[in-house]
Amino acid sequence: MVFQSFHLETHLTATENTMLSWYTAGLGGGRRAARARATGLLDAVGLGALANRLIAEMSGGERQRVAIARALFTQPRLLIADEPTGNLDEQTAGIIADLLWSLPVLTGAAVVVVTHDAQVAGGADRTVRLANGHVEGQGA
Amino acid sequence: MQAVRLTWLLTRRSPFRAVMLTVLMAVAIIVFSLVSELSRVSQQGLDQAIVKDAGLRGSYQVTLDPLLETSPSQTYASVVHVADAIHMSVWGYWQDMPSVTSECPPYEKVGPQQLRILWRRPSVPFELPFGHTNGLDTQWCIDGQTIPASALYMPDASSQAVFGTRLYLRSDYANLVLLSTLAPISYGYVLVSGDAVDHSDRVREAVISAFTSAAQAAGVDPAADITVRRLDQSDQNVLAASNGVAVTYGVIGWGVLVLAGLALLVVQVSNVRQRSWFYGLARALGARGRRIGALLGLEAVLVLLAGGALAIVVLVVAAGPVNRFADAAFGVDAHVLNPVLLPKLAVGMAALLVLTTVVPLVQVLRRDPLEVLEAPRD
Repeated sequence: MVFQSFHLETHLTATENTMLSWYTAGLGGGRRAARARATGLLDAVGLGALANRLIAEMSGGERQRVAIARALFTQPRLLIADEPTGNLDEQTAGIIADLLWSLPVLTGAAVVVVTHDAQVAGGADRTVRLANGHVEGQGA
Repeated sequence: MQAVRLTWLLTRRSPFRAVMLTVLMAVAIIVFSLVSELSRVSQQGLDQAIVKDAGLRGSYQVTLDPLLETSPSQTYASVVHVADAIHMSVWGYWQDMPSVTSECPPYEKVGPQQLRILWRRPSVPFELPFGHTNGLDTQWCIDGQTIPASALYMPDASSQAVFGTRLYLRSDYANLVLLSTLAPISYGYVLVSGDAVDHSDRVREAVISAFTSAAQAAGVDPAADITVRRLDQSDQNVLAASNGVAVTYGVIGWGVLVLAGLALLVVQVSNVRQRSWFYGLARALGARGRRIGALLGLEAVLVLLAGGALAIVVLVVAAGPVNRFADAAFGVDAHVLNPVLLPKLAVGMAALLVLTTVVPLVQVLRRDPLEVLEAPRD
């Protein structure tokens, strides 16, 4: 999952946050392999140069890209992003949206984005419009 | 291992809280150790003073007829057997020499004496302060031989409650006295219960029963010639005060440890509330309850270990001054790093560890991780 408010540990680096599920969920494989995978994912989201930077020293857009890399660490078949651009400026939101919509091609994962931003929604293959808990319309 | 790495990483990157908790734990352990040791030395000091002034606590003097035909080691073994049977211990025994008069001055002052030898057990004499003769500058002459003052001990007023007013002889001079007379030697044993209850009848019954056949063989009446006397105790108030001091110190020591534990618990619980998103995220990323428990437990273990290590360093440094204080105040040695405290500390630490892990863990597991993560932060 990717959250509006990132949910990153600010005292850890981008790499350490990305491999958080290796630390907490007891995933197999050694630390080196986990680190290599995390830096690879950070490269993929365009943060290869900031892999060892603390989250506290990163901008909102960079943080959200770390959150996306973290979500991809477990090689999910489905990635859900809940208002991923809600805390970002328009330009950064566009970058994050492009990144999210490129993930099905890059990783093979299906991506579901919950958003109020029509510009973000515009990049989706398929949209479902919800109002008061009811489906109001669908589009491709 | 991953949990250990993560705990270490988080502690290293955000050390303030861990340092504060470590110092808190160290202070609690130091205070607990100091107060516990202070309690021990003060009670020991008081008890030693009580023994000096009022005699051994719960002690009984058993005197056997000198005509009993048993060897000293046989008699001692029988008395130990009796003491074991009635849950007492044998403090030691004395050997009263036949009455003899010194042939050299100042015999006119001392007169005939039954010199006494005090034994812990057969072949192991008590270490008495021989040479201290309570102002009586004397020696003892028997059959042209001399027992120097350095082999004699006369208790002063402060020790008479325990040792009486006899003149004590060093055991290596026993044969010199025995060669001078054919009169029988008498033995007396001190049994100690350690409590204030009067066990005189029980002791008498057990001793008479053990020595009846030896007494009958020697032609003496066990009921008349074996005596049991409870040594006077006039120390109940002081003993109660001594126990009170120990209890007070104990309450202070444990109180400090419990307060530190509560502080640690409050900090852990508040930390969990503050970082609920982190544990929610960990659960959302697939961490099971026991891994979250391991994270919380490891954090507490780290604090307890670091606090313990810091406390040991401080206590090693403080050992000298504390020992000097205890010696000056109570006349006994203090050991602030007393191994006796280790089991107590281990129990306290284990309880703390369980408490500071289980309570926050329950708090984490009771909340739905998604509900936690939906709440905005940053």
